[in-house]
Amino acid sequence: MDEDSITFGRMQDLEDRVSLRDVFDASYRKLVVQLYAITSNFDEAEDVVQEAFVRAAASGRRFLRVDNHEAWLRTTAIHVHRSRWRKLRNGQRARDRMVAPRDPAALEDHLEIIAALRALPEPQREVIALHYLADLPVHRIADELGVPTGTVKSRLSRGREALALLLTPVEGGVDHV
Amino acid sequence: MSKDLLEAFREQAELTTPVPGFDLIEAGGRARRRRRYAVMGGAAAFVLAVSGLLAVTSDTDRDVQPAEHPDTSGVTLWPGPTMTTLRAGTYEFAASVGPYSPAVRLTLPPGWNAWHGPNRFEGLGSDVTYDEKVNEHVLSQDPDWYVDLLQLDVRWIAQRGCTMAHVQDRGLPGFVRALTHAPGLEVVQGPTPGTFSGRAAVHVRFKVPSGVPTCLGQLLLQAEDGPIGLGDPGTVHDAWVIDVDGESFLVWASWSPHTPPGEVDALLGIVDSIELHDRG
Repeated sequence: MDEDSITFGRMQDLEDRVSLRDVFDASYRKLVVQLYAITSNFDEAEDVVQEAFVRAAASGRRFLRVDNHEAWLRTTAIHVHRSRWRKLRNGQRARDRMVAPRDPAALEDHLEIIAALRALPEPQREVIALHYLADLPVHRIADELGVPTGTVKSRLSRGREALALLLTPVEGGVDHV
Repeated sequence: MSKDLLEAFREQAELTTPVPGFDLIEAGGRARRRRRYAVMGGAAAFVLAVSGLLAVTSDTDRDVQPAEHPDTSGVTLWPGPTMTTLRAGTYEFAASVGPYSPAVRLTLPPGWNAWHGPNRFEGLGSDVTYDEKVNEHVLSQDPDWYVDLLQLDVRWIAQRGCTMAHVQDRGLPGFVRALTHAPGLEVVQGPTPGTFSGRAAVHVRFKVPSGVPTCLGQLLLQAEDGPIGLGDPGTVHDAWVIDVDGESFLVWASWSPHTPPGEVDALLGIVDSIELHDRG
């Protein structure tokens, strides 16, 4: 059954919808990159995205009934990341800051933007990643993060300014996103 | 501009991010559901015990008992093809494998029938049974779906041109090649290399298409224990080809069309529980 067919009010069978495998093939890499930008840690990004997919697999048909699978997975991954940090608390976080997070060798040409993102406060990193790497508009970012749109706009504006300042030496002058 | 740098970063990162095997995600999901059900089952049993309503297993024929071997490790020897519904628990196999094959242990939930491997079909209840006539009667009603699991030492695999390939000494790559060239099997997933119970393995999922050649009478494999057929069109076979000291050992899980997804999950959960042990 293709997307253009008329159902005349019949509920789609689950077999007509995408499968988790389809979502995995289409979204896994995108989600890891988005969570890498948010968490500043590639290993953590892989972990939380895989955990999100495992939770989706465990929930079976309930996941398949969700309207926006990628948003569900991304939100789940972000919550897993936040939950882990809450448990670790400050002592562990201080120790982790002493160990350099792993950046994939294939991205060595992008170390400036990676370092610049890493230097941002996490709330600004989140909205920058969701706006520029997930292509989400402000109201969708607000929905996924559970914050007001005004807060998203404010963090986006401050994040852009901070990135511009951090990247100024590379770009040879004051720059604007 | 920062936007251009972010876009370039995204493009390269998405291209180079490694992707894990999807079967690992599925296995993780199944394990998560099993833990959830184990917690729920434990809680339910506690409630029933406290309330004095703990059910007693029915015993329709006192003369026929399951072949249980008391074992302090909690593992029961597989009773063989008794056509009786077994208790939930861990079983050790000798069926469908040769004398030099590894010992196979797997864990069953309630409601699985003992054939050469565990199987389930439409109409089968969850209660333990001791009389083969009970489950044979259910099977004789032409159930709408059927799932089963076999562990096989395979000697020959059917090939195109109505021939058979001897695979006993071919090793993992040769075995997988022969399997993926069997008439009447369409590859739908894999071959994907991985590990199974700590050993090198390859996973392939097949589907039986319509209009398969019949020159070999729909024979697919000749195993140590006997011939294995293709099944009806639409049947799915999930194969794990496992390297055991240079020889290939096959875990073969199958389900017919119209099998409810929950039953497929339960079957694959049993596959996930399989452990291979060297024979002493």
